[in-house]
Amino acid sequence: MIELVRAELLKVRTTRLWIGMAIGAVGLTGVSTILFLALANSANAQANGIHPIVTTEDLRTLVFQASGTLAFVLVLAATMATSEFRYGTASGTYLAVPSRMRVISAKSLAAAVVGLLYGVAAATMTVVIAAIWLAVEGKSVPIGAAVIGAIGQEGLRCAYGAALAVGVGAALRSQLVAILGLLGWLFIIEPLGVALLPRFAKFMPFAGVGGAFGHGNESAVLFGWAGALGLAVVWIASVWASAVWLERDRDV
Amino acid sequence: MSSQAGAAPAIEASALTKRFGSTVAVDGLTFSVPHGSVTGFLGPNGAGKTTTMRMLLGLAHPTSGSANVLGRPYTELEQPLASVGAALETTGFHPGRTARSHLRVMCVEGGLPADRVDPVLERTGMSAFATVKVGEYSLGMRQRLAFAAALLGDPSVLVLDEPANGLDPAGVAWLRGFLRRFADDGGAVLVSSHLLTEVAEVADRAVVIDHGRLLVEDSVAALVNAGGESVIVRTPNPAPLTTAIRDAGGTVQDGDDGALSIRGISIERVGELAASGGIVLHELRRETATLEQAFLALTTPEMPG
Repeated sequence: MIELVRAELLKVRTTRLWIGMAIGAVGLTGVSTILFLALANSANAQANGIHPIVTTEDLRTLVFQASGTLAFVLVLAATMATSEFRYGTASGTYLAVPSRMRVISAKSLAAAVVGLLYGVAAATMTVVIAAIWLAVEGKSVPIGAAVIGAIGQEGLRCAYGAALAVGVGAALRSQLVAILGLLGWLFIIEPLGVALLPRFAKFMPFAGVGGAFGHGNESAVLFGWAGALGLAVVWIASVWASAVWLERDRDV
Repeated sequence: MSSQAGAAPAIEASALTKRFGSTVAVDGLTFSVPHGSVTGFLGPNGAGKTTTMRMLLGLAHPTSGSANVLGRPYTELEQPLASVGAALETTGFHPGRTARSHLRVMCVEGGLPADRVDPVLERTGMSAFATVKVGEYSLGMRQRLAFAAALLGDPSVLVLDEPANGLDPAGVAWLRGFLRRFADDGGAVLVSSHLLTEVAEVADRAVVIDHGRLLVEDSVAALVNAGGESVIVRTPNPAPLTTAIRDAGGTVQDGDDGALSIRGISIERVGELAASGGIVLHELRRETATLEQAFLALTTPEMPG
């Protein structure tokens, strides 16, 4: 399995999409970070939960608020699965590895690794920008364990999203449908669901699971972070099993 | 590649059937490909050749029947790329990946050593284009890359779908020589092609299908011999010669360019009949049936009279 994960990572490295997505993720996160820092002193912003960075908790919150990585990770991970069908490379992949379950598993693991790296890189950049900003203002930089933990949580959130997106991509096969579906879910359907059915928010794949990775509010976390982590496993396993089940009997 | 001549067939299809809804693409197909041979897989467009090859390789699932490669289903082979090399299409490449990257990925996926890449690029004449993105390749270059991928694991069985498509004459000649040597070394080749002259030059055996059904599985020589010989005559005065030949028990058909195609009597007898009737001949020659003629005879439906 390790070799297959290596192969999937090599597939990502040998095309250019990952560069574009990395630039997008890091760029958006960087711009968001600068905007949050610039607006932090305005009364209007503070009324909306944007605070000057004084404590470790403030910086930790900024890491989550400024993050624009997940959408790019979802696109990249879905493409890892769907490009095999778009370009017809699935034939070669299945000739080398006839077990489709192993292929989808390897893709999910590889995507999780990529998502983790993206999440950590973008979150680290938020901290670096904040540190420079605060240093320029002559303020101390409140880096502590909670901030380091937030970087790790952001990495895990993106790893989770990537694993989920591979399953969606493998199940749907169509690149356009998978990407539009994932982004539509992330930005439209789930926020609507949270607003209209708040009681069910804790079960939703991003709102509910986000709690385990620092993005949920208290009411959206199912049985605390451990419960949300369990929910993440259930979501990944469900989507993975659906993809394997659908792909097993399909012709290539 | 190890010689496995004398062992069980390299490829065995048994009552292989594939339906797409109400359409039967492959209908109870049974055939085998022995080691040490090149087997041409022939049939008109839509006959079910590619679907059959995909079922042999586990890419498509048979509705019923079975297919074994080296004695077991392809999906159960321990290290498939080291046993079977397949080139099914020239579109199965990411356009943004180079040939070397594509083959490196295959090596890692297939558990093959990475140092296999350069030798197969060299062997297929692709070394100079190894770092060019596949999206910039011509059809012939893609074909060569597909072939390089098939050879990556040094397999003993090759399954090739229209491998000569897009190749230049030198490439076709190289391919022909390569397949012949591969089979002579004990390898098994199943090659589909619509270039029947190419198949006739390299294949020992032919499996001919139409509408998903097996029409014939035999040696190429036997197929061609079944077509028999005819005598081609060109004369400015065909009517009396036609009568004389029919009286002598022969059959006459109008051939190309006003020539007569005669069967049932020898070329010597045709000459004698023409001489005795004082009929001028502009051409008199023996014509042996070709694989193409045998193929057309098998697959072309008779026109309603």
